[in-house]
Amino acid sequence: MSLLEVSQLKVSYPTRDGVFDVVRDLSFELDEADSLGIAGESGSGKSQTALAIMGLLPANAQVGGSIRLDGQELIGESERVLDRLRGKSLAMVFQDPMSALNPYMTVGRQIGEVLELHQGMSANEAAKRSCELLQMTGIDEPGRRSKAYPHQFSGGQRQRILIAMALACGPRLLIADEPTTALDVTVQKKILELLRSLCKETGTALILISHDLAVLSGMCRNLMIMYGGREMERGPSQRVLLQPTHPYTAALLRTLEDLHGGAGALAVIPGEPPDLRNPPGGCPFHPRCSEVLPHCSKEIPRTRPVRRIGDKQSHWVACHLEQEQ
Amino acid sequence: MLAFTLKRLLSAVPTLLLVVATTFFLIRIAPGGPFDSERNLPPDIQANIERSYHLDEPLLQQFGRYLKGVVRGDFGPSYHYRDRDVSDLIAESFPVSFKLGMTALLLALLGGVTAGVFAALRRNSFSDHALMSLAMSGISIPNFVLAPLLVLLFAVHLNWLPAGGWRGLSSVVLPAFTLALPQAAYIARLTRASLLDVLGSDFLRTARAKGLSRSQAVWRHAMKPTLLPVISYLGPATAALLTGSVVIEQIFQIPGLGRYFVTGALNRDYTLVMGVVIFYGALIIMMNLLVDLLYAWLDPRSRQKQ
Repeated sequence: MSLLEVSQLKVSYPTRDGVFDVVRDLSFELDEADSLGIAGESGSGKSQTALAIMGLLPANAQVGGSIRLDGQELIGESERVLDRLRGKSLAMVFQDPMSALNPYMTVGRQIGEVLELHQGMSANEAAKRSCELLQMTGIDEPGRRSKAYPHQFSGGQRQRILIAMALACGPRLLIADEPTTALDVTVQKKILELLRSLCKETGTALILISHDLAVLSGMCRNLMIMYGGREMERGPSQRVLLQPTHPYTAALLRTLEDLHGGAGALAVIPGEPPDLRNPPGGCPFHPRCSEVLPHCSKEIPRTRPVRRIGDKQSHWVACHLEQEQ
Repeated sequence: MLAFTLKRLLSAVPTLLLVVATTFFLIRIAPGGPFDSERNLPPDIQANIERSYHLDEPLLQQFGRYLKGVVRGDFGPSYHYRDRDVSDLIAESFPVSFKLGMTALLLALLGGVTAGVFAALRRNSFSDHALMSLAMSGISIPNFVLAPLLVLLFAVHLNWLPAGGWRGLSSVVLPAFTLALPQAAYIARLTRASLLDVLGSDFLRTARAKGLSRSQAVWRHAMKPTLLPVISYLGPATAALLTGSVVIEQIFQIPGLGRYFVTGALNRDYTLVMGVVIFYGALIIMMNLLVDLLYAWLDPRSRQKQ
């Protein structure tokens, strides 16, 4: 049994203009201590998926399908049960470290709070352990710094503190939603390195969300590409990058090569991301796809395994082209 | 912190001086004088009285004489209440106003914050809309309208509470409530907006992600940032309560400082009006200073800067 099993996940929001789906038919699995990178443009449903797993979607969100952690169904579970899982088995690091910490509480207290909540530590024990956690994430002089307030730390340090807080209770799964987007380029690498090494050390499974394929492929064993709330392609990182099967993945990779190649005009994917209130019929990518087939606009492609000769790897794609071959 | 306090206290001196000067000259511009009456006094008696109160001196000289007294803490004799010093009148009536004002302030804080938090946590529900409509009426209805209505209901019809006077706890209820209502309403709206803002903040989501329940997250993480704007409103609230009490004490016949202010102004009791204005001015300045200190102490970001 996998640690996390997501199947047929659907997240939608009712509005005056009708219901619109931000995540549709999403299914994937994640093993113990494994890592999965989720990539996609803004509005592709990456963050909504993460919040759905945490059970922290806004109150007006409608969630369907199934999310199982260790076999335990999370969708429809009571808040009381979810509160006991969050911070203990499930943890999350958010995008903006500048606003994710409470400015009116010392960072030591903020870390200690999780320990008191889930591990029944006394305030003293929690304070001591907070210092160790700060040390572990690379904050110097943790004894003194734990009594400081968030505004006395840099962005990178704050993200370290948030990582310490997330890993405090030894969660089974850590979700990091664009943890370095708000940070300086020079700091990004160090934070990612810290995340990877700590997850490896503690055997924590990692879901890393980013729009940067290069970062994801370096950090995660598996990769999932999302578009318009749907899964486009999923498989081992190297496979997806070297043999992209979905035209969208291929297009994303071309933009990446261009960024690093540097010569000439930048490659862009023509067109706009889909309007979720009025999604295109069939495959959400078909209006921008360079290899579009007649029935792409009518029929939603099913996710099916990519089969190559002598191949046992689990590589999945949702594209009509794959069926043709 | 100490330097900050001293600086603020020093900057209060010119403010107070301005207040003193403005009132001193304004009240003398008003037609009539303290010793005018329907009976015409013989001119030499009138002149005698004016001489004994130094009212015959040039205006600037009077002002200088008054300032000298104020510096020594002497507000001079009342022109209307013979043989009474203004300081005595203030010392005698302020405790009454203080009790009324404090009760109203506590009521406003308790009621306003509770209503605001309740409304924010049940945003867009029926109770939220009902509370906020009530708050809007609370802000809009002037206290001289509300007071007679409350008296009519609770004193005349139901006969539960006295219609006026100052005897025992029951006589505090109606005036304190009337005085508190608009402030409570304002604080409720302030608290609601502030808490809604905090509820949408990233750090509250972090708190939930840690496994705190919604109510735990609200109590431990949202209360302090929610209450900061309320605390900084306490300065203006004090000023509003003081001005409100002037009307309320008159309506409910409460022997407080506000009533002396009104009768003092009507009688052209120059020294009494001046005394009350300076006293109230100092009180408001002190309250604002206290609020600023409290705010600075509560917000770690401003605490470190000082």
